Amino acid sequence: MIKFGFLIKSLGTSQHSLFLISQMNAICDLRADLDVLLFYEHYNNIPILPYVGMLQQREVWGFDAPVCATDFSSAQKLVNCPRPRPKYYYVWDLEWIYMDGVSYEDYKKVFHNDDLTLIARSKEHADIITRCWKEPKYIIPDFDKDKFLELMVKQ
Amino acid sequence: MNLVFTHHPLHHTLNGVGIAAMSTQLNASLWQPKRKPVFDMMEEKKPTYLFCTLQDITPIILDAVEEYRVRIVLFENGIPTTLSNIGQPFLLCYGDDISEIALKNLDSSKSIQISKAANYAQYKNGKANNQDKSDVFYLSQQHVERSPFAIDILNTAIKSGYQFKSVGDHPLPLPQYLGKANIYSIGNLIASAKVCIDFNGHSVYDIAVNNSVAISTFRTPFFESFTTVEEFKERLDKLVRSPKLVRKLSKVAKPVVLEKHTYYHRLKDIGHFINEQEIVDMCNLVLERIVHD
Repeated sequence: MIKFGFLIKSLGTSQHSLFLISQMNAICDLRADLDVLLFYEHYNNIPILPYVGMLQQREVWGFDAPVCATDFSSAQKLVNCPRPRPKYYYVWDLEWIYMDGVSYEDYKKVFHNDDLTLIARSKEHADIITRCWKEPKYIIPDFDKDKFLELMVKQ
Repeated sequence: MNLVFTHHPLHHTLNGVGIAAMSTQLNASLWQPKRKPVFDMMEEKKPTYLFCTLQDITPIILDAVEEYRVRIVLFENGIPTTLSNIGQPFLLCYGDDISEIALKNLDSSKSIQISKAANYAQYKNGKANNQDKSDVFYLSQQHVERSPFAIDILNTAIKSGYQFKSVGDHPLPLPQYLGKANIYSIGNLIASAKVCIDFNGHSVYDIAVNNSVAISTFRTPFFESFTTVEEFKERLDKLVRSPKLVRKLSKVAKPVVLEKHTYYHRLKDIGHFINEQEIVDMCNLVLERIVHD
């Protein structure tokens, strides 16, 4: 069984959760030997029914498999989790542009963390992230299931 | 002697002087009126001097000042509201004679001008590092959105293709703005930048003590200033492409700032002005150490 997980702050209706859940559902349709988990912080109105396991975000602490955070708040938690390896941060949104109450030091702890591999959503995002923080290692558009599967299975 | 400074993070002069006083052996403290009631603070600290702005003067403060016999050193709230208004913060000292009537008739001859100075010299010099590096850095401490000229300058810097970073208390609606930062990070960001942009001398001295070079609208003997966008572009290109020139300029600037333009110098001026030799002596002690370091 190949297992991996994704962290998301809110499962509520948004492009972010819709793309993530639909692509994870599609991954599970592809193969039967996959154990995909979604670790959420807020359980709201889910846009589509997930066919993958869902757990509270605190459970990721002892999850010994590749894990990918998909927003800044989740990435902050992931950097402090001892078991998940390797750790990825899929920068779905350039959150530092509009987030209040988060300092440069907080962003730096995540974006410059050596344990965390950055994944950008597009070439344009990758350029901005490189100029502001560090170069993302991968570019995966809109939670593309094939590219994510390739990345996670490779571990 | 006890000194109390009201806490105004955006009043750079009052804040800078207050923190300078706290890092000497003077018995100084910062006071947030919203957190601690006036009489509690007076009872606990028994201040000899209260350094504050006109905004802080309330009827309760006036009562407390009279009861505890506190001398007031008054700072005009000199934060420029627009970039075209180059108003320097202004110090007024009225000693014991502080009452509502006295406040209405402030005598400007009993005042001195206190200009901005190097703040970060009080903590440590920034250290250049790879994570904080940039070609152009801007410390956002004022409302640039109100000044079309400042917007043009920042636009020019961003469009020139250099790696641009900005942090500071005033958020900019740009992806290059990376949030508010503490004093250590700001020092490191300045030290890691090839060139820093400055408007009205807001951070020009801090840039000098952190071994970087500023292109500023404020004239200094050690950095080039600019008045037009074209001039700015020309100077930016010249400096970013010539690390040798940057090193040469910063080598000249730093000793001048440490010799004349830190907040210890400003506090010393205030000490002279209010005839408090203890303040002058304490500042001299720190300044000797800074120059020798």
